This record gives sequence, C-alpha cells and structure tokens, in this order.
Amino acid sequence: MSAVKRVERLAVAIVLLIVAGVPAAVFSYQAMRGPGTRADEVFVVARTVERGGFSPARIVVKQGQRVRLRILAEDVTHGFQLLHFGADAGAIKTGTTKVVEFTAGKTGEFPFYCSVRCSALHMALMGTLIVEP
Amino acid sequence: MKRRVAALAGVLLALGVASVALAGFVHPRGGRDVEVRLMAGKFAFDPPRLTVEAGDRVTFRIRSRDVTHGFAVEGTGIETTVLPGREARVTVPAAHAGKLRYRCSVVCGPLHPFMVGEIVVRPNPWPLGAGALALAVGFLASAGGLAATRRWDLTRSRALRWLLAWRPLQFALVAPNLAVFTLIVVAGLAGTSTGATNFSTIFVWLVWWGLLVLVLIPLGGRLWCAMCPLPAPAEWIARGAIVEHRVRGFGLGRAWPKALQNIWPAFGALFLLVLFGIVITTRPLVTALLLAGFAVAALGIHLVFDRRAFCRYVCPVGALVGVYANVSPLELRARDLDVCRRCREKACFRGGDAYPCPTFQFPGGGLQRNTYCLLCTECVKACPYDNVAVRVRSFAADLGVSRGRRMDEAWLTLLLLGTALAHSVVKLGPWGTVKSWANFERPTDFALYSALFAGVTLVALPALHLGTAWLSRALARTPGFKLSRLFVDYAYALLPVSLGAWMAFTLAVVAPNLSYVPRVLSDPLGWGWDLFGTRETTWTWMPVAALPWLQLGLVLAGLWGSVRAARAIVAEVIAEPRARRRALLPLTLLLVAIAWAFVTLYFG
Ligand code: SF4
Ligand code: SF4
Ligand SMILES: [Cu+2]
Repeated sequence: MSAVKRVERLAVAIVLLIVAGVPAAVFSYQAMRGPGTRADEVFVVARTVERGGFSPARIVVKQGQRVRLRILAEDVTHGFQLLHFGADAGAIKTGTTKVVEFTAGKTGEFPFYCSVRCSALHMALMGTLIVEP
Repeated sequence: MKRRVAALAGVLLALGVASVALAGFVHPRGGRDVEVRLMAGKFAFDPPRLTVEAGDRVTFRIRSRDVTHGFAVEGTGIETTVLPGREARVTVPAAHAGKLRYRCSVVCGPLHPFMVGEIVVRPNPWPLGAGALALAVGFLASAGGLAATRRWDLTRSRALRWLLAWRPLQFALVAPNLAVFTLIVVAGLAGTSTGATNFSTIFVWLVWWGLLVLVLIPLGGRLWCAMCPLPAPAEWIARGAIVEHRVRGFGLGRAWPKALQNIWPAFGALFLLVLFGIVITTRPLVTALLLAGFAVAALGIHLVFDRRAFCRYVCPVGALVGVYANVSPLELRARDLDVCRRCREKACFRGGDAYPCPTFQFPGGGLQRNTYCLLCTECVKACPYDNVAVRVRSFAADLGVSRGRRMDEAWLTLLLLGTALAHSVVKLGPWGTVKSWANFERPTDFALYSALFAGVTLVALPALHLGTAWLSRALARTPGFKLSRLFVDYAYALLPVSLGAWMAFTLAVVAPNLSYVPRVLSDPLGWGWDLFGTRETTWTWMPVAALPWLQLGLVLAGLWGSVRAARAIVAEVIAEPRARRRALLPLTLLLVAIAWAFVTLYFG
C-alpha cells in the first residue's frame, strides 16, 4: 500500500514539475537573461509596423556613451540605419541578429529607420535614439 | 495467362527503367542560354514553372514584389538573396532531364516553407517512365500466389514481457511528451508569431508529424497513442491515478451515445483539420490553441464518459493513425484463443488487476485488426494467464480481415487519400494562387478553396471509387453483390498506396526544412536566445538528389501493398479464378492511376 502511494506521489510530483516547471523555466530564463545578451547591449526587436514596429522604439543613452545595439529581425528581413552616427546594419535576415556600435557624440533626438522594404508600411518603420547630456 | 501477365509486366518494367535511366545519357539537345525574369512574392515565384531543354543554362533575373526573399536550387549549392528593389542574377545549369525545384531561402512569412518553383528539363522521363513502372508493379502484384502472413511473437522475450507488464511504462512514455507538449503550448502562446522560428510549429508539424508518418505509423501503427500527452491528464483524473490501478476514479463513466459509436465525429474533426491545414501548420498560436483545445476536449469527454472515448470516437489524429495502423507490421493479439475461451474473467475487456481496455477492444474475443488498439498494454497487465502477445507480422496483414469493415472507416480512408493529393498540390506545388486561397487571405477565396477541397475529397474521389466497384462487379458478372459492401471492402485496398503517398509528401516537406530544428531548439520562442549556439544554423542542403528516388520507392511500395490487398479482398468474395481476375482489373488500374498521379505531380 505504501509503495503504491509512493509511486503515485512521485508521478504527481513529476507531472506538476513538468506543467509548472517548463513555463517557469522559460520565463525565468528570459527575465534572468535581461533584455540583451550582454550587459552593455541594447536588444532591439524589429517587426513590421503592422505588428508593432521596433521595440523598444525609444532608446535613451548618455552623451559620449559607447552604444551597442543588437537588432533581431523577427518576422521578415529588415534593415537598420542611424545615419547621424553612421550606423548601418544592412539587411538582417529573418530570425537573425546584427550588431551596430557607435559613440553618441552629440545630444539630441535622432531617428533610426528600417532600410529594407518589409511591408506596405515600411517607410513608417522607425524609432528614436535620445542622447541626453 | 500468368505467363502473359508476367511478360507484359516485364516489358513495362524494362520500359520504365530504361526511360528513366536513359534520361541521364540522352545527348543534350539544348545548350542555349535562356534568360528569365522571375518575380518573387509572398508565397510563390512567377512564372511558377519553366520548361527548358537538357543542356540549357538558365539565367534568372529575380526581383521581389514585396519583402526580402531567397532563391535556392534544391540539391545544389546555388543560392542568392533577393532584396526588394534590387535585381538578383543567378545562373542554373539544367544539365539533366527531369525536374529541378528551387525554393525561397529567406523566411518571408507564414507560408515561406512552401514557397517553391519548378524548372522542367525536357525530355522529362518521369511521367511516362513512372507510368510504365507503376503499371508493371501493378500487374506483377496482381499475379502470383498470395503468401501466408508470418508472425513473430516478440513477447517470447522475458524482458519485454516484464516491461509491458510494468505499470509505470505508459507514464514513462507520456511524461517526456508532456514536457514537449507544455513547451509547445507556451511557445505558441507567448513566442514569436513567425512559424519558421517558433518551437511549436516546427516541433509539431515538422518533427512530430515527420516521425509519426515516416517512422511510427509504418513500423508501430498506433504506437503514438500509447504515449500521447493530450488525453493523459484527462485519463489520470478520470481514473483517479496516474500509474497505479484504482477501481474508482473521478469520471462519471457514462456510456457514449449509441448514435456516435463510430468514427464519424473523428471524420468531421479531421475534415476541418485538413481543410484549415495550411493555416494551422504555419501559425504558432493556432497550433498551440489547437493542441490545448484537444487536451481540454479530452478532459471534458473523459470526465463524463466511460474510458478513452475521445481517443476512440473523436480524435482526428487517432482515426488517421488507426486506419493506417492496419498496414503496420506490429500487432497486439491474444496468444491462444483457446485459453481465452476457457477464461472466465475476460479481464482484458472487463478489467481485473489492470484497467479494462480504454477503447472497448476485446483481445480475448478475437481482436483482429489494429484500428482501435492504442497499444496501451493494459490488457497485457490485466490478463491473468499471460495470454496477450505483441507480434511482428507482414505489412498490411489486417487489410485481408473481412470482419469489422465499416463505412466510416472507408470514408475516412478516402478522405485521407484525397487530402494527401490536395496537400501535395497546395504545399509542394508551385502555384501561388492556390496557396493564397488556402491561406485564408480572403474569405471568398477560402470559400472557393473549401468547395474545391470538399469536391475532391468528398465527391470526386468517392465517386471514382464507387465507379471502380461498379465496374468490378459488372466485369465479374456478379450483379447480386451489394455495391455499398464493395465500396467499403475495396476502400481498404487504398490504404498502403495512400500511406506511401503521405510518406513521400512528408519526406519532401521535412527534408529541405530540417535546418529549422536546431534553430528552434536554441531559441524556442524566437526571443533571441541561443541555448546551444545553433540559433543561426543556415540552410543545410540534405542529399536532396536522392529524394525523388525515395519518394518513387515509397509510392511504388505502397502500390504493391495495395494491389496485394486488393487481391486478397477480391479473392474472399469471388471464388471463380477468371471472374476474380476480371473483378480485380479495374481496382488495379485505379491503384496504378493513383500512384501515377502522385509521381507525376512530384516529378512531372
Ligand atoms: S486517439 Fe488521439 S488523443 Fe488518443 S492517444 Fe491517439 S492521438 Fe492521442
Ligand atoms: S487491446 Fe489492450 S493494448 Fe489495445 S487498447 Fe485495448 S487494452 Fe490497450
Ligand atoms: Cu519568400
């Protein structure tokens, strides 16, 4: 009898571990990992405007800071251009990431764009880099 | 007569082999430089098909209509990226006669994995050669004696007997699948909506479906149902136990309504599933909701009704696996029916030290076909005389069993065959219009597609099948036979060739898309993770050159099995040998035509 109960209890524990553990593992890994793969990196997801555009669409940095952006093209191939600082990632194929690096030399608000046609609203796919003094 | 058949088959065989083999040696008549403007757009190339001569060099000037696409020729290293607003140029030598396929190689949206185009290189030997081959195989299979089914009892092995009787076995099979299922639901609900980079779509429709059709069904029949996680929680709650045997659980244990004690509910569910197949298989969210929906439906049904009623009557996958399980070489049967006759407990059916059969099968009562046996091994555990055996036997042995053939199974078989054909056209074919209809881009187009789909699977194919039965009856001069009975009986002969076609189809879907598997393992939700460093595995080219031969082999093997089954089925109703041969002829021709249609669709 007790052996039976032990097996059942073990099975229940395994089931609960799976059903609760898998989602918990997924979300805690994502939380732990933080927004970027590196501490000094800003992780930007590029989606078509219909699906929400750049996220984040506003990036705030300090003047003189070395900025490192990792851009993931989530749904189709996108591009990334921030011409004021000479950053151009070229085409970023779906599901892959590319990194741009530059120094935020001057203060102000600078737009960045997608440079590869990605949907009918491609021209509207943009975001802003804010460099604070 | 027999000699004549053999001679005819020999000639056809030689013709088929010669025409296919010769194509490699035919002196190229081409040698031209052909230039083609190709427009790439979601989710097809325009023109979708191009015909050139062997020896030509085709230069594609490719532009994109919408987003970034790719262009990669299967079985070669030729690949390029097509950025919008820029022309890509690529030259493809059309060295050998046959069909060259190219596909999009940059994920461009949901239907991206099915964005393909074709170059037909003349003189293409496939349509004719494959036709001759199919005819030859058909005639050969329809002649000669029928070999008796052979069986090997696997449960003579002590270790296996112990394993099958081990109570936690089923749980041990289900648990890993439950973990994968949970991740599928989480990824589908929370992960990226790009199907090609989400664990849920890739693991369900590439990995699971691939393993199911290419390995589990052809070798193990309904083995999947023994490890399926969808109805497991429902069954555990209804039984009040996960591993152990409990007499009273929490299910109400009502009887399933009499009128629905068949697989018509599963037929309906399967029809919807395959009709919306293009949408479902490319959308992570839909995939997750569908699977979760199955689990919830199973829970509701199992709490109210007795045993695994969901699996027995409702589950579309169960019905699909069930009918094809008759082709598989694995069976669970009573070892010695004399023992069963003397047995008073009938524990395999009524339960005893283990649960009664969850699908109301009765091994001791002469269970003879695999359709509804889930291989859950409860009866092995229940039988007090150790009289339940698991055996390996010749393929398709159940198709000759006349007892228990049913109209619902026959219709399901026809639906499956029609679906294999329809999905081959939509998913593997180069025609973008059909793809966008099936993709539910506009409701009116989808309505048209539904009508076409239903027309093929529910009207045209059954009508063709009925016509064959009628012709067969007329040729055999046996007007007394009921046509509806022949319709049902003959349907079972379709199973091997349609399974072969599904395998050929699945191979062509899975093989070129395999590189997504390491990607989604490393980044299951498309959130930019890189667990194993394989998130950017690029297009790896499988030895796709062997693919057509494999596909041809599968379809022809299926054809062989089908014609053999047809022989056995005809032989059991018609005694007179000449009438038998005449009755078999239309059926053989139908089966040959089916096999030929698939091969021509793939390579013609
Ligand atoms: S019938 Fe369906 S739900 Fe039941 S075990 Fe088989 S596949 Fe799973
Ligand atoms: S016949 Fe035996 S193995 Fe098959 S479903 Fe019934 S109890 Fe399970
Ligand atoms: Cu594409």
